[in-house]
Amino acid sequence: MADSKPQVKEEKPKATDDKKYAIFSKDSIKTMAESAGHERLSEETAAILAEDVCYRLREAVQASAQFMKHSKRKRMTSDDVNKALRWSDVEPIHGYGSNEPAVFRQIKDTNLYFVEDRELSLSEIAMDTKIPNSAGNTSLKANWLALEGVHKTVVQSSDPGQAAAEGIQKILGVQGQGMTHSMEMLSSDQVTYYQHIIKAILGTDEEAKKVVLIDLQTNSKIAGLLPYLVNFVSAGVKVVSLELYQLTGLLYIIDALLRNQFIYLGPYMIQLVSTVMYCILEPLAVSINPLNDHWGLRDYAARLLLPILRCSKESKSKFYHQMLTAFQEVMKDPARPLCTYYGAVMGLIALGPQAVEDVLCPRLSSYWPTLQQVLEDTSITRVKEDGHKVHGALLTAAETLLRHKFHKGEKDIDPPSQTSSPCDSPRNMPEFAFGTASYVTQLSAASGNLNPHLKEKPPRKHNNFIELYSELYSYFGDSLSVRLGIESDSLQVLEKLDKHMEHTASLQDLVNERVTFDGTMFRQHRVKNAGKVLPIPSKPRTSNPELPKTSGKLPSKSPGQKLQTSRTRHGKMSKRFRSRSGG
Amino acid sequence: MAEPMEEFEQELPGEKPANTSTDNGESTDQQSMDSQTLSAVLQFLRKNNLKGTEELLRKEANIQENPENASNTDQDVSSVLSAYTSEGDPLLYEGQYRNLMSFIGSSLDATKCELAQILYPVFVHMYLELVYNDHDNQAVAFFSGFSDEQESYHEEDLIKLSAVTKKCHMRHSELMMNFRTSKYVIRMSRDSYSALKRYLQDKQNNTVLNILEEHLYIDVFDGVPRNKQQIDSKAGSIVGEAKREANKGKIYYGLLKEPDINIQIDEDDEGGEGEDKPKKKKPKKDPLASKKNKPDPNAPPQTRIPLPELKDADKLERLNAQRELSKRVHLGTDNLPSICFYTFLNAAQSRLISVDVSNDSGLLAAGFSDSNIKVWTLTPQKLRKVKQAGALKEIDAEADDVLERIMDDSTATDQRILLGHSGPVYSTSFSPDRKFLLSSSEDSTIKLWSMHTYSSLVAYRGHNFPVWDVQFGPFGHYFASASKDRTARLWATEYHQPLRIFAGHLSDVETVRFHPNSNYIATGSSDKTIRLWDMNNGKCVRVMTGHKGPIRNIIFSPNGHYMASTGEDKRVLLWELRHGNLIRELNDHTEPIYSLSFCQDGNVLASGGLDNCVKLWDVKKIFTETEPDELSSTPAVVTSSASNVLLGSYPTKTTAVYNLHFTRRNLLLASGPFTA
Repeated sequence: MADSKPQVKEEKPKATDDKKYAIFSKDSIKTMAESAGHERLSEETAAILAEDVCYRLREAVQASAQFMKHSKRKRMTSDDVNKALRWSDVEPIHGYGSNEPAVFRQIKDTNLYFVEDRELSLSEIAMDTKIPNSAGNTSLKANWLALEGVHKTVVQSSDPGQAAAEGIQKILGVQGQGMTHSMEMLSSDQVTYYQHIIKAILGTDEEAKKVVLIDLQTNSKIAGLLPYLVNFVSAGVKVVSLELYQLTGLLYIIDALLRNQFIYLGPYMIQLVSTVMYCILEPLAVSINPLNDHWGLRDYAARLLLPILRCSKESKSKFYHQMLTAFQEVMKDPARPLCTYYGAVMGLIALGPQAVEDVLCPRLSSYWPTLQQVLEDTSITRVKEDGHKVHGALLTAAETLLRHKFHKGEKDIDPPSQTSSPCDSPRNMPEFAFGTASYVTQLSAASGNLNPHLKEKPPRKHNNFIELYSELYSYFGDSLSVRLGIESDSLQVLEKLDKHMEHTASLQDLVNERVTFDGTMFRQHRVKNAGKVLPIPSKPRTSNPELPKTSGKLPSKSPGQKLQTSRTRHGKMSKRFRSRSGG
Repeated sequence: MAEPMEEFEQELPGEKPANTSTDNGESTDQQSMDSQTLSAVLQFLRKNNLKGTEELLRKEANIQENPENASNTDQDVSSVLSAYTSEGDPLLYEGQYRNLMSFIGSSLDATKCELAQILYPVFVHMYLELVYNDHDNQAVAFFSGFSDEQESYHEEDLIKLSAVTKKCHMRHSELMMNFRTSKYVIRMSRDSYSALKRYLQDKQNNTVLNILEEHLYIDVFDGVPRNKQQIDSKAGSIVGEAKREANKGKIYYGLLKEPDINIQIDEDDEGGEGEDKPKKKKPKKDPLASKKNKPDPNAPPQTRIPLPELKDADKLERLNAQRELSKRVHLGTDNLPSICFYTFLNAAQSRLISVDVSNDSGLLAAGFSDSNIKVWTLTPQKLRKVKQAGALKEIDAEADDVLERIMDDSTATDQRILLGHSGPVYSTSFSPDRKFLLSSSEDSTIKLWSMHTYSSLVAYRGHNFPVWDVQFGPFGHYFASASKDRTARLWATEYHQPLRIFAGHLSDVETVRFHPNSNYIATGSSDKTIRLWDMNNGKCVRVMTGHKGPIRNIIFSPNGHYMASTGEDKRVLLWELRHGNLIRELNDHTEPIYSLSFCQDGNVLASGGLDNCVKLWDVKKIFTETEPDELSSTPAVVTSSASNVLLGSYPTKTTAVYNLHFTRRNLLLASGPFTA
């Protein structure tokens, strides 16, 4: 009997797993007896022992449960069992005092479980240079759970509000002690302000969001809060990756901060860049749900790149390089998910034609087969759709590049004395001054002078526009010409007409008409829409109705938003379309 | 005031455990209880050959030696088991129990529920009888056949019961001993009772009849039979409901008169404020005026329990407290409190067990399972030690700010660790003047710590088992402890032995709490009952049943009229003390509740526990609803809807709520450990 007691404990967790009562068979008692050196145990003895062991085991567990409950826990530990044993005058069992639960392993294809008890080499542990982190000191942290009965994180609306609350809690959890602890340095007003901003951004109230963002753009006194806001955003994008609107909200904060003329963002640039790059490139959790328009988010994030560069005057080239390298990495690796690739392309477009030419073009040939494979694979429609997105992005990139080249070529030809394109000079485009919403336009225009030294030594120069066009045409085929507003057979015409841009404009109209007839309406339509954001070079820029409308408005009404809404509409349309064709 | 106290204490140490006091009970039942206890003591004396004492006691208690006692003498204590000698045919048990069930099933609707009450005790006793008479197989069959028929709230006990399958197990089973040694109390109306009697006589159901006679106590009352809801609200305890007589006695649940504080504190204040004082005092007292002017009729006599005399410092402290109180936010439905949560980080390793916040909300003590106690300051005022003896000599003892001067500023810190226990610290309690801290531990000691030197002053040894809870009295000086040894004890800080031992619970005493007038102590136990004890004579004056699980916390309303209790059964029960009736059941929690707190006005009750949520309840509404009913002694129908009284629910991330505390200005402080 004395022998059976220690074994009771060893077997205990198995017994309490999900059965209500632990039962020991005669056989297991015999096995245990054997292992303890009692070879021949009669059936009768084993039966009596088995019954007694069961009873004592239950007693021990019940007594242990009492200690567990008094420790206000839900998980029983070996300490509880030892205490129960001690108070019922049984020797406690030493050597199981770990806080971690014992791991049970199953022997393959059997119903046998055992406690994993690996042998540890003491000398190895002793000589190991890696010293484990000691657990932090127990500390006390005060925070508001509710203010005058209002739960601090609950927003009025029920479900999304809950999400917002969870989002904040998650972010705060990630930021951890240090961050929230140092919040105590702030004045209570600042803390309230900060909390209001967070609440509004992560919440669903559009009005509140708008007010907050306007304030962030114009408030001259938020410098003290900057580290917290930047920290919040950068921690936030990694945590709140399930709610698209919250992610967008976080990017809005960056946008607003970039526009605020009273603050100096220098020290936070690294964080901001990595945050935005994260949104552009990472296969975010929101992408899992096909209904979420993470593409729009990537577009929007990409459009933030240039303003960021513009803000960091002294380390502009450093960041520019950093971004290019990041995109290059993605381009090199065909195993990256499509959305990452898409992000990289959009990022390059945002950085300007030069970046597209330097990074994208040389790698297009290696990537093209992969994309082609995806597009031809009919098994998974979702992947195919994603593939189309990437295709569209590449197309846009090609278009941007060609337009730029074309424009440049035109200028080069027209006033031969001028060495650089007029677009290089921001003075020529006052309407695109800082704060204009139509980023892509200004990007494609302004990037030329971004990094002069890159321009000097590009990996491969397409000085000849036609040469470049034909190369790209080999990939994209007619769709490229559609985008550029050129019929494939009119290439020759174009060659002749490249000095008379008004013809292109009329061709453009033609093309637009043709697009509406096209069977692949959804994609083409989107492309057309994207094309709208790009000003048609043939038209005088001032006549573009998009620009004055969007410029100087809140980011919540920025093209990103517009693009998003129009996309979702298209998404619906395409769905309807599909269902109709299916039925 | 000091004199009566001395008397009071002098007569105590020599006394036997308090509940043996020779007071002639009002009821006959009380008498029989007493005589039983007495005979037990006599038996013990005889066994140990203490003839002289035995004779003396016999003479004093006026007890004649009777043959029954004599026959008992040779028997071993464990022979109490032998009551199950009524040897019936084991095969008949099942049929008889089934008959009983069918009789109850076919009885009148009005009486059905009341009659169904006897099913559980009869089942248990039949099972134990089978086990005792070595009919193992029949016992197991009987158990598996009928255990599912029992009410769900008996499940926990049934699991314990099912472990007992052999005669030799019975001796160690706590539950079994409880069933054996005390009668299961059932209350039923006369109608139901006569129906039951008729059935048993007609059917010659001897086994049931025997059990009914030997092990059950049926408390018959005249009136309408109770319905299922009424019965269920009271059921759940290990040995049935409380007897009606148990709650008959009058208790003084009113508050003591506030002592007049007429010391010259004005000098301490700035000049301007000092002049304001008299004016200020009046409006402040207004809300309490009704109580002040005509003393609470339910209040105990001022000197019923001797209380320590207030020193000047204490008076000052109280005045400050009252001033703070007068500035409090009045909470209610549309004025909810703010909740400040003190989260313990990295507490998983050393396992936080208990938290207590001092009355003035300035200090927080936490007990850990690694035997440590940590004290934090919650205010900018740091924790400082008193200077060393040598340095103290140099201080002018007459100086006004001597209390400030004795402190050693170089020792100022935010946190202090108190080492001394050798087991998990299950409870801590600050003295009202926050000069001392009590802690109770698994090592079966209670320690008193000085908050001036941060060292242990006294270890109170008396309990022989882990001490689950300790609590300072509302006026200091006294404290009470609850232990696994099934007793609660009353102590005074200056005596190393308990003043009173409150024995009566059938299982661990889990929690203990002082009535605000310091005349009564409430204890909650694993036997699922709450008992209210009179500190003066050590008697149990109220027994409250209704909880379906071990009780974890009890709290009195600030006016002393009500009590809230909670426990493993995830419910909060509200009681009124006058008759010991249950008035409301609040269930919305999903895990065991560990903490309760009334706000300073008693309008709002906060509860929190393992479900990581703080809930606020509008108890004012409940109390006003029950106020008119208070006159009648019949319990009102207890509703258990949570919706209309639940004011708010505030979930935390993954932080369980171990302690709730309303500051004097009605800010709710919650605390618990964060678990990743």
